[in-house]
Amino acid sequence: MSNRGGKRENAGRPSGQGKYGEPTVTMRIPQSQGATIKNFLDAYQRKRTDSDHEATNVDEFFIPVISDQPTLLPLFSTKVAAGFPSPADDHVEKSLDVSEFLIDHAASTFFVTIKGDSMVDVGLLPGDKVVVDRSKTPVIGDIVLAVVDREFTIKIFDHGANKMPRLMPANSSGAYKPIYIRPDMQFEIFGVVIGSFRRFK
Amino acid sequence: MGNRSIALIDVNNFYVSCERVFNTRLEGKPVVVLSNNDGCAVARSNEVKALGVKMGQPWFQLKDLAEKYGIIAYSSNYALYTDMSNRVMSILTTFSPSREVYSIDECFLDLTEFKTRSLTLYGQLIR
Repeated sequence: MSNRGGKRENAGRPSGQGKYGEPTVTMRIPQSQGATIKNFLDAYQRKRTDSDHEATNVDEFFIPVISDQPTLLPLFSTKVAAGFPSPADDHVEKSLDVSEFLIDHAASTFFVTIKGDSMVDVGLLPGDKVVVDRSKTPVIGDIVLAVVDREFTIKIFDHGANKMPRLMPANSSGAYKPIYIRPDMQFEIFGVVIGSFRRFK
Repeated sequence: MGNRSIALIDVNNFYVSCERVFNTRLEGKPVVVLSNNDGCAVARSNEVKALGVKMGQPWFQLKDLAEKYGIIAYSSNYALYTDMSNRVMSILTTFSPSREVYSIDECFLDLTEFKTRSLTLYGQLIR
């Protein structure tokens, strides 16, 4: 038998690589509806690919534990540029209590874990804890914990056209889109992110 | 001793309200919170009250009603309710020098010293 021709294993485009990720069919549509159907499919495609990126970038809520005894640790007065402080410095001038530094109003403060990388450009990495204070009034430019269509998300608070709220991600890769709040959407600002912290080890 | 003005502050449907803070999808829906071992209803949202469910009604009696009307049931999360109660009570201390915590969601405040202002407005401010 000739070894030319016939089926080759793993030949051809792998399934799921097409524009829609699924098999397609040819279809007749009325001429007048062509543009409508094309718009519908474009919107479907956007929704399909956007859903790869987080609906919510918030993982867990935590309650801060405030002890009566502050944990006072010495704070170096010069910022240490990853080297050694100079022996000439009066290096222990002040004491720092971590809770006091991070929390203004304990009764309205929660910690939340960041999921995903939509906010890396402002220094919020996946796994970071952020400090959310519900008593602060949000101001344009603040990082906020918002609820959009009943999902929690952490974004930068901004205004779009005609002063409608707009929530901005912080990731220069362009993988995340701003969320434009329309009148038909459920929207609420749960609190303002006033700080963050993270463990390496 | 003159007339004193005492306010009683009571959180509406406290356990349900706590759950709703972190899950706004529950707003407007019928929600119950069940006691230990999911025994009986210890908190009912207004929607559930409207269905005639009584305080303390056993869950086994409610199951059919729940299925029919889509009542969402939560097991009690006392750690959450205690924490939220502490937050509420600590905020209430800012409104009066004299505060007496009565239960997990009720608190008395002595507002006698605030009589020179409108007590109604002050009450609304507290809310």
